[in-house]
Amino acid sequence: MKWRSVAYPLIFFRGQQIACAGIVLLTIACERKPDLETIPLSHESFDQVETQMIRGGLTIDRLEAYSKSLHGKKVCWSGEIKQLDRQVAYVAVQGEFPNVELHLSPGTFQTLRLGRSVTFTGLVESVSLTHTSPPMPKAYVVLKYVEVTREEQHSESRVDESKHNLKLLASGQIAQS
Amino acid sequence: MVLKKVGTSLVIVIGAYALVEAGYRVYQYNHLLSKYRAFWFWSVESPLYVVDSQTGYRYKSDSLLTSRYFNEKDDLIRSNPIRVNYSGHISSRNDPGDKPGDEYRVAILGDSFTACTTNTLPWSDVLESNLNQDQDLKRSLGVQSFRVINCGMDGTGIVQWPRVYDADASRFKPDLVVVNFITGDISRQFIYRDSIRVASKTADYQVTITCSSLPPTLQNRDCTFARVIVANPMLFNDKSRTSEIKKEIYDTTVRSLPWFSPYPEILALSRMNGMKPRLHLENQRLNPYFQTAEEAVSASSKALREIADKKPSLLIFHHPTLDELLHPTRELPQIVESLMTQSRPLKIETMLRYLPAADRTEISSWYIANDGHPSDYGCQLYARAMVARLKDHFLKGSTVR
Repeated sequence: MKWRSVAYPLIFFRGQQIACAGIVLLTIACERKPDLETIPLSHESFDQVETQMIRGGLTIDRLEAYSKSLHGKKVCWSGEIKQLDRQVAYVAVQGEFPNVELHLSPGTFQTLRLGRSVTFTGLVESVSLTHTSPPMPKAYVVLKYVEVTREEQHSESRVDESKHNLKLLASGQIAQS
Repeated sequence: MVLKKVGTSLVIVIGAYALVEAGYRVYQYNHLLSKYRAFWFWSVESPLYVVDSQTGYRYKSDSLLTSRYFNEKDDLIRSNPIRVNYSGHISSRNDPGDKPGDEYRVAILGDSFTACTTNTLPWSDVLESNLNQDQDLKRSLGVQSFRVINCGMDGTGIVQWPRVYDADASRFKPDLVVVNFITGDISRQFIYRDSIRVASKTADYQVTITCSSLPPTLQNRDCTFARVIVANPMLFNDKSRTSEIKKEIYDTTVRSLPWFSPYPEILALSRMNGMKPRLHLENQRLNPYFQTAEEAVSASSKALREIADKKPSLLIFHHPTLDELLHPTRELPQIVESLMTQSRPLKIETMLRYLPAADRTEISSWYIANDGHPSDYGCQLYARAMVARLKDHFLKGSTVR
């Protein structure tokens, strides 16, 4: 009886430890960033995704099926950063409004600035429908495991900066190089 | 004894579930409130939409408003006037109820592409002017004038229009009814709209909501904020106040979710037995859609037949969007082809063939950039194309059957 009273809690405790370790490992495995290099690049542009989504018909089943068909595909697009919020960059790939959501690592997120043009690669998490108002259907794409491959100042910002520099130059605040 | 044990176990299980459920709701409430993200919107100075149990909504008659479109940073990006006539139609002219014997009337049923709330010049007004300028046409029909009645209602789909015909178009005794639809209209379900006041500490304003059922309140899970804020335009000059209002609207939407409902939210997260979670904002769509293409086509086809039964003098046109005009082969989307097939013997024509051939830049100018609705220029062209098609109809006498 004695050994049982000692062994049972031990076995039970070990079991719990093993279960916990398993859960932790599973969580890590689930959250592990996939190796983007090994995933082939899909050549679909945002425009093509939007056109196919809308032309396919705006019914719920069809939209869900279309989103599933693109899940996990690697895309490389460019756009202007419209909003930055909690490790997510909202980018307008086409038009004025944000239509692609980039889920970023803290390091990458900190380097981004509003109004900049970025080129990025990531995996499609979902594609859904958004609207202008009055309603005109538009595509909205969420990308995960995003790597920003190029970032440059938006042309307007560049123009503003050049104007600013010209003013400073004229007022003699910066030296002509 | 066994019963007592089972009873006790049940109480424990239910109690534990209730605790977890309560915890989840507290977490989800705070999570949703913290998820706020600035959004774009448009504003009008007084309500444009009034709920109508028959037609879904109507435009507030005799109004001259300015719609102002703002991006998520609250910068004004464009604006246009909206004129609503005495009959509640988007038009700069009134539609008299009494019809003179020598007048030919055309009533048009459609969505925002017909209503033209996003541009200055509704194509129905241009169509009326163009038809009235054609003396030969008037002579051949033996009429003195044409009147075109714009019964277009933005955000609506084909299934809504039989009721719009009954309650609105038919009272003007049209000689011809034109159904003018875009591809998306096939998938849209019946909607209601209304403008409701929000209890606010920040300012006096209303919001427009879109619903798939009545009553039009934010507490109704079938209603969603339609991104229209009704307020004094001066208010939006102050960006910080505008941001506060937008956050307040978002918070009100979150608070109006059924936080105290007995619905088992955690069980619903598993989606078993078709249960759907209710404590989230993801299902909030400006347009509720049919589940499947078959359902959408069948319901739209039935609606078109209903209109044709009431008004045999009917023409049905597909109004192409920018993407459809830019498509390399200009082939129609499958859902439009299906509607054409299933609606036979009704004849549905696409206006693609009546619009001029042009390059990408020219075609893009027919639509408002970043929006997709027809521009003033696009409306003029479309009216011209419609005149050509109507002349065909008047001279050859073709209708849908």
